[in-house]
Amino acid sequence: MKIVKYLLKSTPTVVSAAICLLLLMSSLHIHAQDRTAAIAATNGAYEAGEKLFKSNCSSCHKVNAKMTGPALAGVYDKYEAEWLHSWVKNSQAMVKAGDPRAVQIYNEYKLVMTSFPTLQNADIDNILAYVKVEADFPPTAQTVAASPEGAAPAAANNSQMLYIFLAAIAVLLAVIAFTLGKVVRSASNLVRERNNQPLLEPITAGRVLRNRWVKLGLGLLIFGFLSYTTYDNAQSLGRQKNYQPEQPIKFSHQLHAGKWGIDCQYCHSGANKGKTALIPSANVCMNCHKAIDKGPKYGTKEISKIYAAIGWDKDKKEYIKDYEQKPIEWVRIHNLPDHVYFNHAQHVNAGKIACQKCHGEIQEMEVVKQQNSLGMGWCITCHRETEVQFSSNDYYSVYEKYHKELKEGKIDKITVEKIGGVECQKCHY
Amino acid sequence: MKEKKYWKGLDELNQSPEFLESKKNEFAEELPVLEHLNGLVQDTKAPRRDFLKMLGFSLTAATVAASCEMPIRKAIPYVVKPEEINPGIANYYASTFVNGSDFCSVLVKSREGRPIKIEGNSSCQLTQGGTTARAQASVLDLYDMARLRNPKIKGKDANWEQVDKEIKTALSSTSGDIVLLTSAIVGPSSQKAIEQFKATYPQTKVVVYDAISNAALLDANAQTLGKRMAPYYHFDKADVVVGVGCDFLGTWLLPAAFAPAYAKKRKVNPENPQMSRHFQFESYMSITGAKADYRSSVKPSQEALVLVALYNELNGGGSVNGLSEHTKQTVKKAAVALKAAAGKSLVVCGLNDVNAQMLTNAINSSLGNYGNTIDTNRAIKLAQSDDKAMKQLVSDMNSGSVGTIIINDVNPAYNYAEADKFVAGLKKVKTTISFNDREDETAENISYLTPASHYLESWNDVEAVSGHYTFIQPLISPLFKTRQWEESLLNWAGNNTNYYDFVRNNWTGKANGDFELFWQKNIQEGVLHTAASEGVGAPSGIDASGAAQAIQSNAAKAQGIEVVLYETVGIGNGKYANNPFLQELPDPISRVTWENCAVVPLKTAETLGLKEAGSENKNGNDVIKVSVNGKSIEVPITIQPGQTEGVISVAMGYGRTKPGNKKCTLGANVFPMVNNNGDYNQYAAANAQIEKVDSGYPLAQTQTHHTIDDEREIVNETSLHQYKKDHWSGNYNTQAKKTDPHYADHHYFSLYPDRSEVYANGHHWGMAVDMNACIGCGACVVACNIENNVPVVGKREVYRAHEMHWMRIDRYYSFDKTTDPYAEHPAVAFQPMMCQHCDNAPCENVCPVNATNHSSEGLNQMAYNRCIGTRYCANNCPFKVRRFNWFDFQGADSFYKGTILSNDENVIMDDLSRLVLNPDVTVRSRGVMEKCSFCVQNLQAAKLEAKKAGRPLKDGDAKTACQTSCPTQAIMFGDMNIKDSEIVKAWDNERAYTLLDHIEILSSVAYQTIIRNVDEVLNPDEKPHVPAHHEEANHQPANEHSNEHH
Repeated sequence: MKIVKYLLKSTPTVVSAAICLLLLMSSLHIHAQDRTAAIAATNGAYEAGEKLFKSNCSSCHKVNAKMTGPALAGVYDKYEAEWLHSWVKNSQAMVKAGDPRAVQIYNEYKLVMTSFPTLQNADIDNILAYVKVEADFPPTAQTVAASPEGAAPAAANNSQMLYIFLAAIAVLLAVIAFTLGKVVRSASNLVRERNNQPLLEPITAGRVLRNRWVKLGLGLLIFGFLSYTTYDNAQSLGRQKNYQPEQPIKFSHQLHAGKWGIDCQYCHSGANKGKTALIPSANVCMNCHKAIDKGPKYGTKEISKIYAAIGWDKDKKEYIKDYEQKPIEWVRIHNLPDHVYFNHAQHVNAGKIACQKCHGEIQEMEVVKQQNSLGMGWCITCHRETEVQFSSNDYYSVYEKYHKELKEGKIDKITVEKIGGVECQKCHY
Repeated sequence: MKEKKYWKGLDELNQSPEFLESKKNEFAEELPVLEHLNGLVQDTKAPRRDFLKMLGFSLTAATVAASCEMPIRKAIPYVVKPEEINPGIANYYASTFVNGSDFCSVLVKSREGRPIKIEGNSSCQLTQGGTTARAQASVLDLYDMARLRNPKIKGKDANWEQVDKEIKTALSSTSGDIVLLTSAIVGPSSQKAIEQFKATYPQTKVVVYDAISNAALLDANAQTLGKRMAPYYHFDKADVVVGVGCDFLGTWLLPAAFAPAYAKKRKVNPENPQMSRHFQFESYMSITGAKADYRSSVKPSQEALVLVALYNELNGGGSVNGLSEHTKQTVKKAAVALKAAAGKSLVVCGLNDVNAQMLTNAINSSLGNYGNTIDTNRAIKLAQSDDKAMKQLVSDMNSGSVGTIIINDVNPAYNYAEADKFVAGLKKVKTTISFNDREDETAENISYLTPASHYLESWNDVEAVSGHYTFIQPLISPLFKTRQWEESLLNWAGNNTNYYDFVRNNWTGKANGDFELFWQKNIQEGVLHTAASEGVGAPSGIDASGAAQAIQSNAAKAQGIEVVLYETVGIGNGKYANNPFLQELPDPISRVTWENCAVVPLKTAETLGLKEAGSENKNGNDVIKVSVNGKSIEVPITIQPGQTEGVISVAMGYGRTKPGNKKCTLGANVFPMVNNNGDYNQYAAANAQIEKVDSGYPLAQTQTHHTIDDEREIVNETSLHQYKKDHWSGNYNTQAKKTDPHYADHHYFSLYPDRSEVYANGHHWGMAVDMNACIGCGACVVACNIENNVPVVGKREVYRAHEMHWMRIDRYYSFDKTTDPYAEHPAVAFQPMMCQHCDNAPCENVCPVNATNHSSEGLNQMAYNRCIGTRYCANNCPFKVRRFNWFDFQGADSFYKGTILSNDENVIMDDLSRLVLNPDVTVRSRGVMEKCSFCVQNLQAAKLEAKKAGRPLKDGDAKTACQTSCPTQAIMFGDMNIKDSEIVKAWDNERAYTLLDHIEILSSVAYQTIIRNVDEVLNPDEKPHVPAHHEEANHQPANEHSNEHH
């Protein structure tokens, strides 16, 4: 009854939330349409440029705001393409050669832009195409963040309410049973009194506890509880879901990865190459923080910890000579036991799995926490569902039988499990 | 069934009841469980209440433990990350393992800046990518706790400034000689450093000392070639090899180069079956003798006589007295073979006897081998020992004419024949300096200990053989306050350049073109091969008859039981005594670990009434006192075939008093028994007194541990001429199976599902072992230990058959009881044995928790974290390759130090040596089973590399540790689904067979039939009778096929 009532009550909330969401999305719709059209008009240059921009440029440049380097919006109007090509490839040479515009930029920023000799002219054009779209049709925050998650808390509350409701019923039943018992006893005592039989004693707690069956039952109950706790705790022994320790530097992924959109692998450059994703060494931080010595939230306090580690004199803008460097002791969040072998490259490079799949929406975390249990069941579930890059990676050509069956339509996908991804010695050796 | 029977130990040969019982058991010793339980539990009553109390307590305790919080772990990145280092990805750097007389060009695997594994360098023309057991184990020496942490002055810690100051003063005020007593100097830069030192201190003398000396070889060549040198021997060009007392595959001169060259001539190409013929004459069984086609056991006193007889056979001369009939016949055979292969043959002699060496030169010269198989333009520079100079030095020291002695990498107080005399002399020297890396026996009387760095912390160049330069580059900064000895010498000579610059400067001007490029290339590849000339001509002035006469008169003097001292492939001259990997590596022949013992031949044992552990001597082996020339030792015995009657052999290098770890001091020091009365050290002596002093000595011998319980053939063999006639010879069972389409129907009824389709899809890993090429050297065993974090368990545990080696090399003997009743001339077979990864694995079915199971790639997987230690799998494994962690050998358990759970079984794993552990392999804890995984970590890494590159896996991408370490490339491995790969060819070879085939376990390891180059028919034609209708069935499709073509 109560629950029905509750459900009835909560329905409007859910409905109104959904309506709000719809409204919000439709208001964005018009803007988004222009953007989509602009992206489509670049004929794929946008996508290619986006990738290049995120991996090469985004650590120092933003499209619409100054960062380590200037905002890039409008550069395509200010400079001609040839000039930009040679600037990106080797800006220092231009400065040395005395190109007036190059010298002007250098004097303004007092920083050498990294040379990108490997970028082709077409690559640079792609980046510019991306920048142009981003400048003309900046994405609104809502396009990224909007997701129909708003209804979820209500659902979670529902199950909690159910437990409370059940507990209340149990109490009620107990009270009824007790009262009924009292009534029955009084009634039978009336009869017994009349028949001169000994009266039934009132049921006290002590009497109940002395009963051997109660003792046995209670014993079993405690045994069961302890066993369950042991099992439950032992299973989660060494698991740290939601572990969110305080770090020596209050580094915000929300700011770096979220707001500034720096590619994960710019700092965690090992994820593509090998076993460890790598916690960036302080010299990687310095690529940007030579110029940025003040953060939006903690000012200079946290950033100066990097300087203390590596030995940077922020006033003179130079490294201190013969400085005794001290590594930054980050607290490790994702821990696996010794008998588990995990390799980032296998997942990121070969499997093309997004970081967020395991680590959660890192770009929204002010303080990083462990999103998943990292338990074996969690791994296995994913291995059972995830498809491998079967047709795009030539490595898998050795699975001739599967290729044949795919062709014949006998199977429709190859999961990690199918190529032995849940066998013991894929992770335990 | 075969007539010829192979066996590992005497117990097995005699089929003693104890052996029969034990081979059926999973574990060799009786389980101690019931003993412990006796009286403890059996007689006590366990009341219900106690049971409940215990239950309650353990449950609560478990609950509390389960609720423990995780410790906080740190992740500490570099401050400035070096570009080439990526944590989690190994880097390889070329370097050179050189240590006195040992040499191997290597690649060192480094993880997160610490060297963890040695691999062979395939760019090196000498070693051709092979390694030795010592080179493999050398990485652990870096992390040796016994290394000196800083210089010391008279036993007190000091710093380098202080030491340098005092030593410089002492050197410049030295009256008398300054002597550098050193092991062989093999680097041009080291040589130059010494020269600079000499220039500053002109009274400096250099004495090269080698406890196991080759001085006679050098002196003989000084006479015949005009230069004191050991020429380079080309075993890869020799069609006939005759070895006399010469273990060239294991320990003689340059085994790292000889073994691959020798194997090249021993591998049989099916299209053109050819192999060299190898004769060996020796007094004890060496691994070289074990590989010989014809081997004859000779007493040490008569080994040189063999050369006389051989010389006479070749050049005409009288018969030689004193040789046994068997030896005489073998010599005749050898002479015939040598004559036929003149110019393409090689006679080598390992005796430290100048007459024998002279005669060897005469024989080689008469055969025209100089310039063909013997390259006098290239010298083996590792051989430099000078017995006479050493003897002179000891007398000089005692007479007081030596003012300063500098000791480099030698330990005469332990391994010099007259160590006491040396020590007495040392006490008379005013200034004593030692570069040795630890406080060893010699260091006791040294005032300045100035420890040199390990080779993995050093820069250097090496010229092991003229023109073959290799380079040493450091993998890590010195762990302790040590300094390269060359740098110290230079410093004391007033030259303060750092040694890297010194080495580099020595090479300027040697480049064709850009020096920087030249230098970087050399360091990167680790090798530089150039033309060389030692400037010597053809041998001349050999007095063969004089040498022969001297030999004959010497031989006549010998009487009674003779003792011979030999070098093992592991411990060497005692230098490696503190390396637990080498201590636990079983001797390839006697299978003894952790100590030496007296190897006694069967007949002598019978005459003297000596017994091994076994039916009558349940507790252990007899112990004997061996006395010779007034020196005596007490050692336990082991009885071995192949030993010459009346000859007892004892290994050198054991019984050190101060190697570092006290667990490495076992055995007896036999160096005092070396006779240095003449010009050359003699490692054998006659007239020995043998006395049984004790019995029941527990010898940790792995001889019959882990015996395969089967009556069928384990070792297949044939002779070369039989093989030429029929490639299937020796392997007819496999032929029947492979060629008869109905074979399976007749022979098997399998309960296993047919999974061949699964293995055909994707990868299917397989291994093949060429038993012709395997020389039993043990490099693979050590490589496997290091790659896979296999624990060292110590003598006591080995004695209890608890050794953890994932791979072992089974050594089988076979002999003809009618002609050779005391097994003096047995045939030997080495069989590397590791998990066979049976596709129908018997171990998998019996695991109650499915901790061991099969992968779709054909691997027999072992999940440690799932194993509960029932050991049913080990009991059911027909190959006995599973190993159980009886203790927490490596400190993997969380409750370890200082608790009641700690144990002193743990030998190597202190905090420093744990740095050698491979981070990609789990460190197993107590109570779990483990076994060979085919180095699955390497397979996974190779697959990932292929995936990252987006290409299919290629042949040779995935390699196992045993495969890469093998000096003779006897072990092949790969994906059997890759067409035309090496492994597929090895499996398709007619010699390939799998073990215990008749129980249809579908092993993934193929062995290749041994081919011996002998005239005798080795196994009578045992071709199984093939029913007629099968032949028809075979022919029919062939005809149809040919019709199609028409």
